[in-house]
Amino acid sequence: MAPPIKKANERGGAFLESLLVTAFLLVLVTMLLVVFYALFARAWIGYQSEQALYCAAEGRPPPICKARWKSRLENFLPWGRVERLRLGKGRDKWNSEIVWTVERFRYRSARELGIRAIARNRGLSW
Amino acid sequence: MLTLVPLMLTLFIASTGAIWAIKRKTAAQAFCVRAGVRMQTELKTALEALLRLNPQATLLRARRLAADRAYQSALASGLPPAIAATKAVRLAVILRQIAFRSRQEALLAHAEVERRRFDLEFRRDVLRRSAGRVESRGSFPRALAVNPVPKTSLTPDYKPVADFTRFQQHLFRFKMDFKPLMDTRQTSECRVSLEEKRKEWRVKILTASAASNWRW
Repeated sequence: MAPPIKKANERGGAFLESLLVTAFLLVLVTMLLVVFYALFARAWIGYQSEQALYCAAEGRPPPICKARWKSRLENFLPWGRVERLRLGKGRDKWNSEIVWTVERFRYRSARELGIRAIARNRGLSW
Repeated sequence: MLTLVPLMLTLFIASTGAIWAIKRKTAAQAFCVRAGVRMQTELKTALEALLRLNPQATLLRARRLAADRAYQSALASGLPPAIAATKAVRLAVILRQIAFRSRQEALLAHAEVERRRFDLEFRRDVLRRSAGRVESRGSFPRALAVNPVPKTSLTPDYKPVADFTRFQQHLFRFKMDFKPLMDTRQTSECRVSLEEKRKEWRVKILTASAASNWRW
């Protein structure tokens, strides 16, 4: 008597396929989340840098402006850290510099707010 | 894959909306500050020109005082040639004072015109950008927070009022909406003035940052 023939099924193949698709989706979702986070971080860092410049231009003590700037960045960007934060004052102008890092990614933003530059700029970006 | 589409869409809309709102806030703030800085820069020029006239005004007042005294002395002496001569000198001083006064008035009027012009430009630009409830007002009845000293003189000195920076400030305030993404309105506000530092007039931003003027 011949031994019973085992019927082949595709369960193993389907499992492997679903594993691959899940891994692909996970990578895709993670990448999109990272992109969204990076875009938001860039906009938020820019916005808060301007707020810090206005704060300094209003004549508030720079340590207070810097502390507020840093705390807002840390509150809204839990992933990543502020590596360098600088708020300087010149003659009728203020400048800021921030270096923000997340893992190996490094983002640097330097801005300047000057009374003369504001007065000269006639175009309205809004 | 299809099950992830709503999640992705939500994420996309949320992040795009947040970034757009941040950009709009930043731009509105910059627009507000720019309006104030540009107005005060123009007013600064008029103020400096007006204050530069003070030594001449003082000199003319002294000459007028001397001419008045000489005329009074001549009247007391009763000598017709002396009366005529001192009267002529006095008249010449008064005419110079009138001419000088018109220069001072022209500068004050110019400042007033500039303030109105910037005020109108600001209102027009805000309304054009579909924002509403515009407010633009100074803290002093005139464009320049200066007072004539002495008040009754034909050629007074113009002195900045006490607490000049507070009185010279101009407030710009407007509401802007975030439609169609958000059904909310925010108030943007900034105050810009002038201040004297080391005998030099400078434009001073009094309030501009979100901490000092954003209301949710």
